[in-house]
Amino acid sequence: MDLEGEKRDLEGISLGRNVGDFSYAEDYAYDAGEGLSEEVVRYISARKKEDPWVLEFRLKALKEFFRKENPTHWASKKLDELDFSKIRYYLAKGAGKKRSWDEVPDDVKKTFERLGVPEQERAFLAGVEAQFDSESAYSNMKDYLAKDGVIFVDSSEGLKEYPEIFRRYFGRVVPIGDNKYSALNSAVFSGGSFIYVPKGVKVKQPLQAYFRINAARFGQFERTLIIADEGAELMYMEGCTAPRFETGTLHSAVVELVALKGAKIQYVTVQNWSNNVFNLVTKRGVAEEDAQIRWIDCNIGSGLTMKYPAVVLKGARARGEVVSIALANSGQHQDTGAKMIHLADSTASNILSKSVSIGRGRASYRGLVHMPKSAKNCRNNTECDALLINANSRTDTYPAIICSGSGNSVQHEASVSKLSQEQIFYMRQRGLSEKEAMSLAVNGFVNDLVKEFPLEYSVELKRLIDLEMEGSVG
Amino acid sequence: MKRGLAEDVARAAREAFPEIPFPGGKDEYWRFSDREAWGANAVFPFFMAQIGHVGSADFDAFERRFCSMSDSLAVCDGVEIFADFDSSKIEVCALSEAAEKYPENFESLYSGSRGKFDILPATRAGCGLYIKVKAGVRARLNMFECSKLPLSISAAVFDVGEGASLALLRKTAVYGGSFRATRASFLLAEGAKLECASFSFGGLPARKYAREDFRLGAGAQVLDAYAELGEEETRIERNFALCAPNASVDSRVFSAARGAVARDIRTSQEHLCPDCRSNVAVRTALYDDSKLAFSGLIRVEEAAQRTDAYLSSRSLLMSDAAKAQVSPILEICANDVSCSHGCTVAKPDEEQLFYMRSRGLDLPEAKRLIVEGFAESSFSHIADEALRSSLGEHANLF
Repeated sequence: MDLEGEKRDLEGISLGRNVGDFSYAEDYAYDAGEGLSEEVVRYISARKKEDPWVLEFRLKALKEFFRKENPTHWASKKLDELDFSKIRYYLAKGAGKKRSWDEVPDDVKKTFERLGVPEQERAFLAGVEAQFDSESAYSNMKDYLAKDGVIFVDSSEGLKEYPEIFRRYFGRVVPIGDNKYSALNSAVFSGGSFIYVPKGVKVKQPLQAYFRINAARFGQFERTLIIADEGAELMYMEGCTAPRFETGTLHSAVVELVALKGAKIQYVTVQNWSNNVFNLVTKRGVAEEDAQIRWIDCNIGSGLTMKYPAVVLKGARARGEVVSIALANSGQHQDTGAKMIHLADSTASNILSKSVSIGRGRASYRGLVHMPKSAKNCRNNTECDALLINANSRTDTYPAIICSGSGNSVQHEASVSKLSQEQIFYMRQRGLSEKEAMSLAVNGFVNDLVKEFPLEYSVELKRLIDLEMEGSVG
Repeated sequence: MKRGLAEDVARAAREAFPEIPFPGGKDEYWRFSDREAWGANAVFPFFMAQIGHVGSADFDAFERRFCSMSDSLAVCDGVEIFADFDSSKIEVCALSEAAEKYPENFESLYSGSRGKFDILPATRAGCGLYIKVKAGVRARLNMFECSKLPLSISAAVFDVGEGASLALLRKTAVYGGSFRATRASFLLAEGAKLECASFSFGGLPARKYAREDFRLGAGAQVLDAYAELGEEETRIERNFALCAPNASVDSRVFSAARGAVARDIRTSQEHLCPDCRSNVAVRTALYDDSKLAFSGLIRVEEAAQRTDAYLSSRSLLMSDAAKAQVSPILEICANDVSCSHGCTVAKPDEEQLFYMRSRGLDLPEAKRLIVEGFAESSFSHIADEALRSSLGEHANLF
């Protein structure tokens, strides 16, 4: 067994950048091999014993993927470094998904223990799904939720066991041809969560998914679909880690949320991939009448992240919110943002984004706010703040605002600043070292957004920011 | 007359022009434009052919007035038609002549011509005027420019010498049926100051493309106000390059659009050196089913520490059918900067309207006042009294 990386502090959740930097030897029973072709797609589908309509969906998506160009005319040229013929699209041990940690294969179990997943489950989660490379290794949910009719399974099981619920929404929020990477995901998706919360059920504790990449040159394509029926409420959290391999790894997920009348969905992401992961994710939710969708998003890891969580405000008085924190250190490009599509009257949206660029890191905000004239009395407020730590750090803001019709109003504000020398001077006078003072100032900068995260995470996020600040002084 | 350089540039552009397609409806869907419809291809390269112009009493009045003023220069389709200014301070020559005298500035005017629109003015390189303000003087110039040809192409270089200052009033009239394509460059030497108030008018159906590049030397200052008040479709580009320390720009655009016209406004603030300041503000009032596409860029290079840059865009939707698409962009590569942008799209503020109505104004009058306030704030930063008050003449248009 090959173990690298640092020992984890077992006291609580640890999100340290090194905590995921270990891997176990590969012994996969099912491997679709390198490169992407129709055979690979058929192999995955056959392996999952899927219905013919799913295979058809996958093949259609594959065609779309080949047809679409990489969007390098507006996005980072770094995308061209991705070599789709060198990636492995499906890896599984074939052990199947377990309901108890005791049944989970040893090395997989150890992986998640090192990441603290079972402890968190005991402490404060209502249900957990743990995905190891392509397949879900563990999935469990507290009994009382099952009694209420909550469904929390992985995508393969969802499509097979509950087609009447999931088929109706699957691929509707994010269509196959939405972009090149949603097409790729639709062709080779494996794993991810399917959640259904029935009418009026309020899930008090968060549900969590944990995504782990163990193998090099691998692509993880999980697919998540969450449906909150009328008046239902839930909070879903996802965490991601991968070891640092020499070669690039691809993570391309599609997440679809459906909040029916009066429902509330909060989706929390803490993304801590290692720096060679391409994190190209399509996330979108549809909010019906009086429904609310909040994306709470923190991007710390990955080499290139492109992620613009979106809310389609389809029903009257729906609300959408995106709270986003991004930290870009040297060698990283955090290209994050938000999209708000207002289609109904009196809908409101709010976007709060804060980014910190350290060293040669680059943080970008890319946003869209769309209000057609058919919608009346819509409101949007967008605030983007960027903090630059070093002289060669970079930040960009690319908002697009499309607004027509009287009664609609959009406000956008962005500002860029550096650490205030006065603040640092004041803190140093009080006996803090320069590094401590800078960490404190950065934590102060993102503090109001960190508070939006569940408490267990917000404490760790602060610690993680301290760690990221190391070496950036001077 | 020797026309070597100008002819070379023009020949190269004429060869390149037919090869590049105009941006079609699909390429520029975001900007609501189908530029093929502007019809430049049909009259290229025979600019003089085709019909005459659709005049307007207003435009003729401008022309008459400017042709009887002092400190004045009137230009029609790139050709000087009237001049009366103090030649001890200002020197004006044809661009074709300037190509030999100031080859570098001439080339920089047309350099970076890549797109169809950029290249169009270069196809008649040399047509236009080179206006030089001598070092150290304080000069004033009232300039009237009109376009009557179906395809009216011209260019201008404003070369403000070291420590000189220029107060410039410009009025542009594009006659109905004409497509005006121009490029201008404003070169400000060390310590130079430019105050400029520009008004643009157009008949129906007129089209206008204007690209204006400002290059600022050390300590140079630009105070600029630009108002679009006519009925023409426009596409304007205003680029500010702050090339040396301590330069500053304060530029404001006011655009009122009526009918079904689309206004396309692009600005850029490029900070290349430390200690510069720039402020660009775009305010628009959109009536009827008019549309606005605005994109602005603040770019701060690594060397440009201690930059202070601001970009704001405020659009008033005066009707249900009006539409605004705006994209203010920041690209910041230095850390010791204060850069921000703000943008709003909304209808006139209910509270303000209520306040005015409670003081006895009717609704149209209250709305008019709000738009007038918008326009006035676009001129309020101009120090020169004559330039600032030039807006007053057109108050009837809001």
